[in-house]
Amino acid sequence: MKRALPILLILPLLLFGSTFSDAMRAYKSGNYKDAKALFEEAYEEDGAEQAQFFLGLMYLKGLGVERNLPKAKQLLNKVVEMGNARAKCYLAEVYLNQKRPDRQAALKLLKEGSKAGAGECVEIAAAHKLPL
Amino acid sequence: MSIGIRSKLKLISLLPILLLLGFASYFLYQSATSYTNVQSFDQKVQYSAVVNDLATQLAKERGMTAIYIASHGKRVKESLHAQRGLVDKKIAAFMHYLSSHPDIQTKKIVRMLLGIINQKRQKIDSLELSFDKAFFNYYTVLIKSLLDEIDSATSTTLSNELTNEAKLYTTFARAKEASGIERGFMAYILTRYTKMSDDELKKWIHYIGQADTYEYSFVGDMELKRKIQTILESEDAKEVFDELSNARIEILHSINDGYYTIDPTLWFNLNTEKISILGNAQNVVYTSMRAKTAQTLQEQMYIAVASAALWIIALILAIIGMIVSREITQNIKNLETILRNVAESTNQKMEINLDTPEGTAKAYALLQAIIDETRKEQQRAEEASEAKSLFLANMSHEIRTPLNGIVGFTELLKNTELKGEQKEFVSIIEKSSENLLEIINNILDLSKIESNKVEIENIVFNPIEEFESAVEIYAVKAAEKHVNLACFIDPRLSQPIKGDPTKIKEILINLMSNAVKFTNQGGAINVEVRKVHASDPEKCAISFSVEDTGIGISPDKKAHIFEAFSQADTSVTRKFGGTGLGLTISARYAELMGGRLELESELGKGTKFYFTLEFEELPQMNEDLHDRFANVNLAFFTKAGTTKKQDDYIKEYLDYFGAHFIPFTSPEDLVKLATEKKAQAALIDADYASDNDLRKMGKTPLHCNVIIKSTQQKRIEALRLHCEKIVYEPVNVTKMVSILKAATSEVVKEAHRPLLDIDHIGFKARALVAEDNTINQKLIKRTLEDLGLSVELADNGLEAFEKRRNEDFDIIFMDISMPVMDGVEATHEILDYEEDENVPHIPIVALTANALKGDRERFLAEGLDEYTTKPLIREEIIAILKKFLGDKMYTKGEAAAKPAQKAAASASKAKVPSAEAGTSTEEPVISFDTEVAVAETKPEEKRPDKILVLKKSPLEGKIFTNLLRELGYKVDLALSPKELGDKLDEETAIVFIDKEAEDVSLEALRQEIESDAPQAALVLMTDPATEVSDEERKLCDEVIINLVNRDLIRLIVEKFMKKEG
Repeated sequence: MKRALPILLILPLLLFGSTFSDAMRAYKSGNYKDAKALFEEAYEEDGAEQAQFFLGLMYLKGLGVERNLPKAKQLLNKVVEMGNARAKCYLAEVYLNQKRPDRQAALKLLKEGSKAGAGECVEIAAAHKLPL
Repeated sequence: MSIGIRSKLKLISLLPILLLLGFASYFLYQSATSYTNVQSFDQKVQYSAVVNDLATQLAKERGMTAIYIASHGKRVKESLHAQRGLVDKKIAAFMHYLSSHPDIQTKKIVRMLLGIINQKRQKIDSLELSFDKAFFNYYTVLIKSLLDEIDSATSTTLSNELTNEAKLYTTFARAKEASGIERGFMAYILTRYTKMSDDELKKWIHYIGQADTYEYSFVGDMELKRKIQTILESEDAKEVFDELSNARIEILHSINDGYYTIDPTLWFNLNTEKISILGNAQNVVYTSMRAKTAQTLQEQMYIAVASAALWIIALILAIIGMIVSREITQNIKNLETILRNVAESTNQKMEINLDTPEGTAKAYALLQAIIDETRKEQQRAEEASEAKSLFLANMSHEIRTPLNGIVGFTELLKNTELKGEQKEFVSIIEKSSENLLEIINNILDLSKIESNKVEIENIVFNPIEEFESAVEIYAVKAAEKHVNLACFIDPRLSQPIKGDPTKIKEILINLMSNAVKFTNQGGAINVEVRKVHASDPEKCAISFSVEDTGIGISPDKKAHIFEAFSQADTSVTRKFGGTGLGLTISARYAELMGGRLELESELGKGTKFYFTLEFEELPQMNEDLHDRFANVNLAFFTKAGTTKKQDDYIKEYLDYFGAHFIPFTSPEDLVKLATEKKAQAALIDADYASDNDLRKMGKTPLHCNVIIKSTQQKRIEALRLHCEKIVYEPVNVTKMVSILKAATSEVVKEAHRPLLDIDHIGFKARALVAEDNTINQKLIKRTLEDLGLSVELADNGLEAFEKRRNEDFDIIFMDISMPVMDGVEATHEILDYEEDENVPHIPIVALTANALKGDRERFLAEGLDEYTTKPLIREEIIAILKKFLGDKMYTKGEAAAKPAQKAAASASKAKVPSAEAGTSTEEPVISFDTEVAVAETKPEEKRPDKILVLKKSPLEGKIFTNLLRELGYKVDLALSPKELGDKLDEETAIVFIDKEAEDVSLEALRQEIESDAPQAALVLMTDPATEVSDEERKLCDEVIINLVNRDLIRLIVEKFMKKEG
């Protein structure tokens, strides 16, 4: 039993690890359609939370999917709550690009993101001419 | 400084034990220390486990806190809360452990950091604390301090293995911790999902190095190694480790853009998995350590128990050693005290200290001195005892010499013409001096017994002969007192036995003396000596009893009767005289000979003393006369109303010899018996018969024998009886045999002889008397002159020797202790002279007052021929004279000296038995010479009965001849071979010839015997040292050793006489 327990724990980890990594590789090579399916699979089956970050990012940028800011906002919000600093930058971009942009909330997020070391925030703030 | 002996002894006895005790103590201490060390180590290991537990849980909390902070308090809130509860429990357990083990010193920082955990948690909850501050500055510092605690607690030098294992344990702990940090830190980074700063990267690389450092190959325990290997190198573990390195590579790949391909949760779980594997390995090490400490503890326990046992044994031994050494010391002290006392008692001022060698040497010297002293004292005591003996001997001599005078001259005085009263006075003096002599003798005897000087002899003797002579001694006294003395000596005792006849006779004489003393007129004394059944079939037991009808002894006096000086009553002593020592001496003698003198007594009726002794019986030597006289019928005169014990004894004797006992009551009956030839002999007790009857019976033509008391001699003489034999009471075996022998011969009524007695004996001879004491001189002179001798006196030995040289004597009486030259020296001179001058030997008789044991043997060995004690007893002198001067004897008042000296001598003895036992060996019966009688009754059968003797010296010849004569044989002495040849005739039966005799040629002699006396036997006598050749043996009929042994001679003579007959 004692020997069986770690094996049971380890098996899903390995599966998950490979799915998330495969998704990342598909994403980085521009194969967004496969990437989306893999990220969804990684999130739904393995509970890989960072997969949501990439799904949100893909909805925000319209990569392999139709641009859908509310969906992106929902997904990124989740990841931000999880502690992903980079997601803050993209969530701020969602706020800035939505129909009624919320510059105040975006600025706060950008500030927080850059403080945590996310270089994207600085780029986004510059693009939207927001002082950090 | 020298160590005392006692201290040395203590040292020797205690040192090994103390060494043992020391070793035991050392081992005990060592094992106890080791034990406590191991125990404390074990405790520390346990403590480490507690700390390790806490650290593990804290690391988990830290990891969760990292995620919590990263998610701004949005994630793992519940898990963190639960983990905090777990950590709190662990903290509580840790605290509890610390409080229950106050000896464990925890670092202050640990307590401090644990104390602020809730404060920190609050700040974390409110997100006031940054990740770095919480993660590194608080949790990591706290866990590190805990790990340091483990490190310091498990660092040990107990044993190599334990040290290694402890090291491994902390290694795993540190690896776990580094992995924990990597886990938390990287989970934070992965969650943040931004690029790592350079610092962060450096940190991570640093912790990767630490997290993978868990070398275990240095562990010596192969079993443990194998177990760890199983855990760390299992498929699962390998997969985890591979996965982890893959994850790290993935992270490193995406380090530039910050798009990490590893999910933080995955990372976290993977690391947790790794930590758990390391934890497992750590547990294995922990278990092994615990097992090792437990084993060591047990080992140490065993060693401790063994050392404790050894220690206790050593302690007990030490205590015993102390006690023993104390005892020895005490003994030495006691010895010292005793020696000091001894030293004081011997008046030697010396300090005894056995603790030093000098003191010991002194003590030994003292002991040696005491031993010497004791030896000297013993010597002194022996000398004193010798002096006492000498004193006794001298006293005996000194008292006896004057007493001699008294006794001797009283006897002479008694024979002078005295007036009525004077006679009485003289007899009183005589009695008194006799008593005194007796007392002195008794005291001497007793003192000899008391000083164990008495030796029991073991010589061959003829019991009948010896005991008869003892009884005979009191015949006269009993007769004088008109007391019937009866004697029965078992005729079965015909064989010689071995024992001490003198002592037995002394007992008998003592008992008879008492019996006579205490029995009144008309009483009776019965002496019985009977052969009884002996316990040992080889031996012969004889019971002796002396019974009287005297005054008796009361029962209360019986108990003390055998004690010295305890006569039944002091009044008795006054009335009857005596010292009362007789019974004491007799009882002691009986005891010495293995018997027990006992008595039965009734006051007023009489006393019976009896005892039984065992003797060695010698094989048949004498002829047994049992049933030998079956042809004899003996008529015995009885008188109604009167019986004497002797009658019964006579009947018993006759029964034994096979003779018929025919009682008759009147002289007429006897005449009838005689004429009808129904009886050959008659035996009449003079007490029963009147003078008339006696006269009548005497004329009866048969062998008429009359029993009389010695006091009745005058009466019988007056009757001028035609009696064959007068038998003196008591009748005994010898007398009976002689009566019976006579009864077989013809009756010769005319051959009646006048009676001979001592007063009529004389010797025609010259005697030389050497004696220094004038009183004794006169006494001896008078005594000898009374016996018809002419006496020459010499005052000392030298004078005696001079006189012997110048004159010729027939006999010499030699006093032993004399001035100028004593008797023994003088004897030597005379013997030398006789040898040198080749003159015939004159017999020398020793005279001495020293009546001590061994004297006789000593004097005879010195060359003297006979021995007699002073005062001179007339009977003894006569016996001696008869022995040496038999041919010079004559009977006074007779015209011609008849060859009846022997009978005369016997008669004299029967009448006045001498006090000296052993001289009255001859038949105390007045009779015709047996040989004469035989010769007269059977003249036609002239059997060869003469014995011829040739000895090397005339004296030896004389002695041997006398011996044969005493045995009742006809003897002739030849002085040379030629004379021997002349004397040989048809009557010669035996020729005794000395091998050393001069000019003897056995061959020639043999030829002479063949021609002149072919019937004669030739007996050669040799010295034991001389060789006898076979040729000589052939010439002789018998070869015997030249010893004058009565029994041997008799045996030889009888052998040849019988053969010839």
